[in-house]
Amino acid sequence: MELIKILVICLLTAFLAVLLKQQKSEYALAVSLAGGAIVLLLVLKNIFVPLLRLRDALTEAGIRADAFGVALKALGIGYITGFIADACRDNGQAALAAKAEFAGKCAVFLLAIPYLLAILDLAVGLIR
Amino acid sequence: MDVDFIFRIAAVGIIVTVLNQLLVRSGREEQAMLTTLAGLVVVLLMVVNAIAELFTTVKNLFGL
Repeated sequence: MELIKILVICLLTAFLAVLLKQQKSEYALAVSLAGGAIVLLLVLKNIFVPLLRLRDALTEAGIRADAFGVALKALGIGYITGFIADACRDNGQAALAAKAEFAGKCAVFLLAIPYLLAILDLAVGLIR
Repeated sequence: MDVDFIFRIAAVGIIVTVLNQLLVRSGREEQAMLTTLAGLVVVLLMVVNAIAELFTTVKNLFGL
């Protein structure tokens, strides 16, 4: 079962990180980063096929595919930003984590601007 | 690629810690520091490769 394997890897990584934290804390960071990367890679490999099938279903239903593309992009940005922000926060760098998350939020906002403008034009068109 | 990768990094960490203690006890602090740095560089290279692979995968999957 894929989930069990991922959970075991997380537990293992946590154990090794704690083990290495006393003497050499930089290796604890390295182990947790590596474990996190591997878990994310495993999850991504499972998520990708259903996402593509969802996108094809949406395009058949006539909904504009690029809207779903932007949603996927935002999901990707959130995914990576969360990964790095949590890694920073784990190692006592709360300020860095906050900045990383702020950068991620700005990136997602930049993605959404065209759609905000489209909605604005639509609204203005309705009013007049 | 996955679990043994984590073991490899932890093994390097443990070996460097033991070597460091060994060198410090035998009075060679400089070599101890060099060993720690060398181990750190090796581990960082391995981790950077893993993170780079993760980022390229995410970039391809989500079309970033």
